[in-house]
Amino acid sequence: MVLCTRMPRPLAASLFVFAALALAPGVARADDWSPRDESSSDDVLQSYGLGTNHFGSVAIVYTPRSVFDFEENEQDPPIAGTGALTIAACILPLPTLFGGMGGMEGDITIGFPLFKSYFGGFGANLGLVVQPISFRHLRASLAVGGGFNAHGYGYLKPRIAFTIVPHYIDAEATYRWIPETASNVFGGRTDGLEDEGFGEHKFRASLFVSFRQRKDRDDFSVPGVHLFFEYTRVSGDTEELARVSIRAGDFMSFGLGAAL
Amino acid sequence: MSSFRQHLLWFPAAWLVVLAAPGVAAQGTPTSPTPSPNTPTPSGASGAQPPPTGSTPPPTGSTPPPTESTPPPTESTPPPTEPTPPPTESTPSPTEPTPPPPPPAPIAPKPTPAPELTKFQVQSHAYSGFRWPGYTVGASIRGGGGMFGSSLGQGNPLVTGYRFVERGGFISGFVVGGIFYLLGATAASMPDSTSVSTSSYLRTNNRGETERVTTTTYTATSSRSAAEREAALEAAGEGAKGLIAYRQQSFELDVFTRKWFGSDLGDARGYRMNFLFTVYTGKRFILEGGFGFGDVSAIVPGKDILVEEKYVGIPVRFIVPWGPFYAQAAVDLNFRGLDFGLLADDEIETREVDGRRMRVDPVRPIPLTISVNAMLWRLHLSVGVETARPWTGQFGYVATAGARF
Repeated sequence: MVLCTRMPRPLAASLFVFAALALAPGVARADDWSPRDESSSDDVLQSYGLGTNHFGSVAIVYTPRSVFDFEENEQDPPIAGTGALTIAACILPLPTLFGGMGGMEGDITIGFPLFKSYFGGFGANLGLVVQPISFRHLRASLAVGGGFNAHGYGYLKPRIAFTIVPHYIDAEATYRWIPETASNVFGGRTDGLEDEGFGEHKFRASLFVSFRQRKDRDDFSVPGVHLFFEYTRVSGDTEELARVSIRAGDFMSFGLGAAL
Repeated sequence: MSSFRQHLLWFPAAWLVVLAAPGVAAQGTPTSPTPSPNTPTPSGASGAQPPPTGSTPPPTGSTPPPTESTPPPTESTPPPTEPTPPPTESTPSPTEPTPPPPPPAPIAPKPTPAPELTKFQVQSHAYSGFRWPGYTVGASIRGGGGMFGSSLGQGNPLVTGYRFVERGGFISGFVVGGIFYLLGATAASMPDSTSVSTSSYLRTNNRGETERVTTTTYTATSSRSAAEREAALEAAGEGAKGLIAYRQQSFELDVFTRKWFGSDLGDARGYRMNFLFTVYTGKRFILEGGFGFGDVSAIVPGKDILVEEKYVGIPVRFIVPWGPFYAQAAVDLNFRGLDFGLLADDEIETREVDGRRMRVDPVRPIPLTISVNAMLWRLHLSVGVETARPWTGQFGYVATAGARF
């Protein structure tokens, strides 16, 4: 009864998705597409979780107008940008019972200014990745994990990646969601059920360009170029956000790096 | 369980077939003196053995020649054999007919191979689900006085959340192996013995006062060589690698939220995670154990009570797979609950939640959960009952639904 009266649309939609998943006809299963058989020589490449051809990235990121100096002027603070060095990797070594892949992802970020900055400072996150759609040139995955920088958080990150030019150009889009309920602000108010932290929605579009076809899976002699753009929406308590020199709002970041 | 059912079906069926066979009726009981048709008889004077017939006369010492009425030997009966010529006659005379070569021994029919499981059947098999890498992403709901039930007896929270399970992966090995490696590295770098000695004496200072000077000496002795320490460190590293490579492991992560699928249905917030390894696999069951921790806060609906659950302990799972289903008994041995509340602070703590001053109900349960699970292709469903205080008659329910990838 409680479920009926308080069941919202997202819950009903989720139940529908579950039912559709369970009752899908045999044709939809397509005898369970077997991505591992599609191109067996590229099995190991399928375990790479950045784009469709890479597993690691080292990049510099610039986020303009992302540091608000409230100590200088509380009402009209000077605004500066944030620079960061980020190292990311994603490996999916485990073929699953359903033809997908599973693995881990993680990244480390060192941002400047180092202190009292939402995008700056030292941060890292680690997540589990499930990649149910795991074709050679089309990937879709979901990551669940946690991390820290200006706050400690848990996140959910769906991802889709596809090849544009085989072996040379591939693209990736991710959306990382940090619910406010999954965030804990360090040094904030006493933690409790009502004490939510910062929320974040981050959309990221990446383009990977390789200049030479990989001879084999261990051929890293010519790293590719990793270009990406991020659109981040930050929310949370104004006072808590001010402690990390930021306001609630939308921010854009630009990144350039090398992809392995 | 399926093979057990097969035995149940085949056992009476096999007896019926045996009793209905005509040869068996003629043979009588095993104590009958009549030899079995397949029983080899001793060779007679001629050295030849008669072909067995359906009604073999009792042995008389002289073997009658085969007659037309004698049926030919069947595949199941050994064919008659010619006497072996003496070794001196290595080359038979051309006038004598060459004895025909003995026919090949009858080939026993191959047992019917078990039907090969289809991919769908494998994917819907619980045991395969335990032994092959797989992930389940879903949701969970708990109600009543189960794992997160209040100890005050004034109602219980509804705990809703999301559930992530990895089976046959490496998360548990990664975490526990890392802890093992850290412990091993610490042990490798520690001194082999330490001692603390204290000495004191009296002296007179510049002002003519007598004062006691106390000296404490800490001594650490290392008797192991550098090579031994290196070996210990290497062993720790190998142990960690072994745990990571161990495929029979699982990882359970529950994240509880009040905004379940965007609703206000739930009353709890927090998390719980368990890192599990298969410690024993029997013929019919699997036993898992590991390490886990969690922290959950939940509001009792309509009451100013905040249930604060904390857990650090050893999860134990007893699993009985049966086709696409499996039954599971789970106990989370909570170290923080081993005092059964005897060491709890008597002072009542209050906390302000949602603008209301609430009484904190600290619970450190050791819950027992008995559930039935179904792995139906990409769907994983479970329903069960659980209790942390069975002596009070407080029971709750738990249900989960997830998609398998």
